[in-house]
Amino acid sequence: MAQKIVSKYKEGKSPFVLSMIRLGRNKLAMAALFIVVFYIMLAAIGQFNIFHIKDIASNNDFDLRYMKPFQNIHHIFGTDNFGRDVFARAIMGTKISLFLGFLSGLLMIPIAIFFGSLSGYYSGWFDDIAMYIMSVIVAIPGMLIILSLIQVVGRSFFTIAFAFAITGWVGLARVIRGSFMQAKEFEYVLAAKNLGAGDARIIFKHILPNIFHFIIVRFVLNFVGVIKSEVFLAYIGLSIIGVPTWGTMLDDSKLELMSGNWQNLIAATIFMFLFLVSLNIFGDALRDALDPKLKNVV
Amino acid sequence: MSNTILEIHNLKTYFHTEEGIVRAVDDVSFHIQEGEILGLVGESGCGKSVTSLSIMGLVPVPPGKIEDGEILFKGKDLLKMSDKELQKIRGDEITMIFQEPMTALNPVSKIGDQIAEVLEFHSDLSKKERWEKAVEMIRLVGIPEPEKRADSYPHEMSGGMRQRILIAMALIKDPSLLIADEPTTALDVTIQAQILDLIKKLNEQFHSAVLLITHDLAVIAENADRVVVMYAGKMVESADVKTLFGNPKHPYTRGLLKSIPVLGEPDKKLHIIEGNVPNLIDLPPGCPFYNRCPEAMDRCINELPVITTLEEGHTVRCHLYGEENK
Amino acid sequence: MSNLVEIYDLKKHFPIKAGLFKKTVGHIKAVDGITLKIPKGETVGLVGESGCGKTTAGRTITALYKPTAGEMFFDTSREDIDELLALKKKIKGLRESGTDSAQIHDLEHELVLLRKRMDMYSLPKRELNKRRRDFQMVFQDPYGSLNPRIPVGDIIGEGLDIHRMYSSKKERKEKIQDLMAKTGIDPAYINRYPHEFSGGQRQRIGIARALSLNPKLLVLDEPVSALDVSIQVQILDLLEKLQSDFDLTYLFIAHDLSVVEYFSQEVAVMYLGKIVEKASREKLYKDKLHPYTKALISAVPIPDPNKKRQRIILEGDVPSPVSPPKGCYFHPRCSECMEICKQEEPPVFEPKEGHTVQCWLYKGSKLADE
Repeated sequence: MAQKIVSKYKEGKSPFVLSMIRLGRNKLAMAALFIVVFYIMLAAIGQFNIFHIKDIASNNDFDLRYMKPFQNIHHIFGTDNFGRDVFARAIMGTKISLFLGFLSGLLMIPIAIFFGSLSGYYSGWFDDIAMYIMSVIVAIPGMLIILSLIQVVGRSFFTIAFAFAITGWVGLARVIRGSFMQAKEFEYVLAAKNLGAGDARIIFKHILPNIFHFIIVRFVLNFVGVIKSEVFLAYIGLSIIGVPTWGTMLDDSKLELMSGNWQNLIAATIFMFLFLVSLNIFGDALRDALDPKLKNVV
Repeated sequence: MSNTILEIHNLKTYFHTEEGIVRAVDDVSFHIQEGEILGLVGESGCGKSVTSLSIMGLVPVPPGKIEDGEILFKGKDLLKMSDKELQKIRGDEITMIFQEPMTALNPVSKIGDQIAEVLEFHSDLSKKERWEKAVEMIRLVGIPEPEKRADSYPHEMSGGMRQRILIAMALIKDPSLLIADEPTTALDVTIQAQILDLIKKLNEQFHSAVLLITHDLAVIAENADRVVVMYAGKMVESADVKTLFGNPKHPYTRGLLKSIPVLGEPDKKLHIIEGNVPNLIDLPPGCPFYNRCPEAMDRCINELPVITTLEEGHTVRCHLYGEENK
Repeated sequence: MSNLVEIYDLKKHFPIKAGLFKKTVGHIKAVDGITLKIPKGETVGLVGESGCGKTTAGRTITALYKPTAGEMFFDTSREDIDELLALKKKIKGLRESGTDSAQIHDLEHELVLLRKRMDMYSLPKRELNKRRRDFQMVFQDPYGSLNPRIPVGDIIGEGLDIHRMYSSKKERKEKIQDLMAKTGIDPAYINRYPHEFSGGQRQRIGIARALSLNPKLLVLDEPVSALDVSIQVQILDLLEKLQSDFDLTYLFIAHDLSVVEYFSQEVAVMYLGKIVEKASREKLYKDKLHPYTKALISAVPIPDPNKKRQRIILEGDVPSPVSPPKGCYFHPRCSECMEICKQEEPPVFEPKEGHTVQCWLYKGSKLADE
């Protein structure tokens, strides 16, 4: 049946290319990807100060305090306590959220690969130590580590990204370790060893590329965790200072709500909701598409 | 003459995939008599397993679909039955054992309970009676200390033992038809011999018909009464076992028989069937074996041979035996 | 005729670790003392049921696993092997007679030096990786033995890359395509990926990869058991052709006795980590000696409905290799079990020239010279 179906393509197509073709056929995932790309563009607007967005976001105008949404064409989501445009602030928040997720993922992955692959591949004393470290990190609530790091090092953008990476790498490292332990007995790995391949070649050429889908999917879904955590940090007043984030907007809204103003709440929530839903849908689709178990089904 | 238990007429089961239609079973017809062991033999992808799934009504829909044909079980067409009727027949009258004895049992439930559970849905015995029947079945399939075994868990048993338990589960309702899909492929030769002997013994004892599906011609030779050979979704030859092995007609059957090494005949020159099984999606219009056949003729390219009866009970699908060549 | 490979008393025990501090609580004795000689240019079959340790034996022989004990001599002269074995024997003798430790210590040092020179398993890792060119392996699973993310050309060429066996990209490509042609794969498919090939074709790719380093020994680990009958013969035929073309020596590991008998000149039967019987294929089939071999052969079905044979049914299951029974490992299932079998492990007897068996039934015969 399925395993008998040989590819119809004339030229060789790698499993990765086939995965991408499969992903491309998933309309929902493509819609989600479109939204994610849209958010990346919003982040770029914030970063490069296109449309003077920075100035709009930080322009205080006390005459226009607490303007309700959809009443003024210039302030489509209304204004906040200081008369700043909420829509512009949400866009600036997009930038921070994306950067946080990206940077923490980038920091997390090498740590996870290092510990996961070496402890899975070599076992022995390195594995014992790595497992011990991982157990300790997992045993302490992640938020506690993040909070203490922020208290000690300060509330910079980089510190927060680093704090997320420190708490986030363990799960991925465990997955990588497990995959390595399985993979070292795979026949193609033994075959490479038999040809005289060194450990580095086996790890980087034969095992890592075959478990890379775990890493990509984890990277995508890492954004979800980071964005949620940032909200919590902001809520207890420990997020990045001086720039608008979705977390600080929500934090602001807790005071405003009492006076019946919900501009910040609605803007941040809509921005977050759409982004997180899209990321989740896209991440799941990516996982399905890259799953090697489905690789022959085109 | 004994009764016909199962009759299949022109069964066609196709799979609709994105690449095209896979004709997994294409125009297959055969029948099984009461108390007989019918061997269904062929290489992977020939459609033998899909045939058994079609009988059991277990073809995944979609992508699978039974396009045409009849499956008459004791005269009633299974394909026209409702799910509920089918379910009753499936547990009561037709049962099946699979290739993988490791995954077919529930690891957290006792062996005795699992066997007794089969009875729960299909009879009105008390709990104690069901347990006793289960123990009796374990004894019957040749496991020592059945009382103790009924009380143990699947992981405490070896592969051969588990396959025996599955046979016990399949036979406890005294079915009219047992479908054994590669029952010994995952087992060692010494265990394989035990399991096949057991199936044969129980076949004689219970008079159930058995559909034995395998890729192993030697297993067929030792156990089946009649044989159906399949290739690329089509039936190519069928005969009683002695005729088929003594006087094979289809070039594929002949080639296959000449290509298996036989213990005790190490100097046998093995015949090589060149090439591969064609892709089931774009099968040529003619004979599916054409590209590998040493006796292929021009008409084989475009014209699919019909099934010809050579003598009573011996049919073959090949132009060599068509009307013109007789 | 000289032997290409000689293996002495090879053992591979996997430790079972448990508890907080990973204490070793037992060993899986997958391979428990096998001695095997493979003559140049011949095929030796290693046959046994699942769990008998044949795959582990193959992987240990190719040094994929580090052996627990044992020596492997590859293309070593008779004199050298004898020298080392004699020294080993001498140390053993001295130890048993209780001679002072200083002398033994010196001899042991000498033995270590000898081993470093001849024994494959005592070579340092780098050195071993270089020598691996001489003994390659073909794996069982045509789907699992090829890295799905690498084009087949690079899979076949990996050995060439590792050992830098070409001077230009062009030469590399030519070598790869030549290997593909020789193993019956269309060289035009060099950039295709494994999933685009059928099982038989993948097995050919695995063979081409093994051949790329011009090995002398090929360990074939169940190379045809995952394939269809008609494809099996194609692969066996290819292997036969390659054997004469490339002057190869084969160790053929399989569970299917009929295939082993067809393909090998000599057959060794394994049970629970040990070789219980070893003989030329004719002798093994006609005058099988060990009760296990008899049962095994009687269980193989014959594709001829007119032949009905008496089966020897084995009672019980294969015992666990963690705690094998005392005495002969086969005694709990043996129909001819005697008192001595339960107490003492039988030595290897050689009742007939070149036919060895590890069984007390042949107590009177001469001991095998191992």
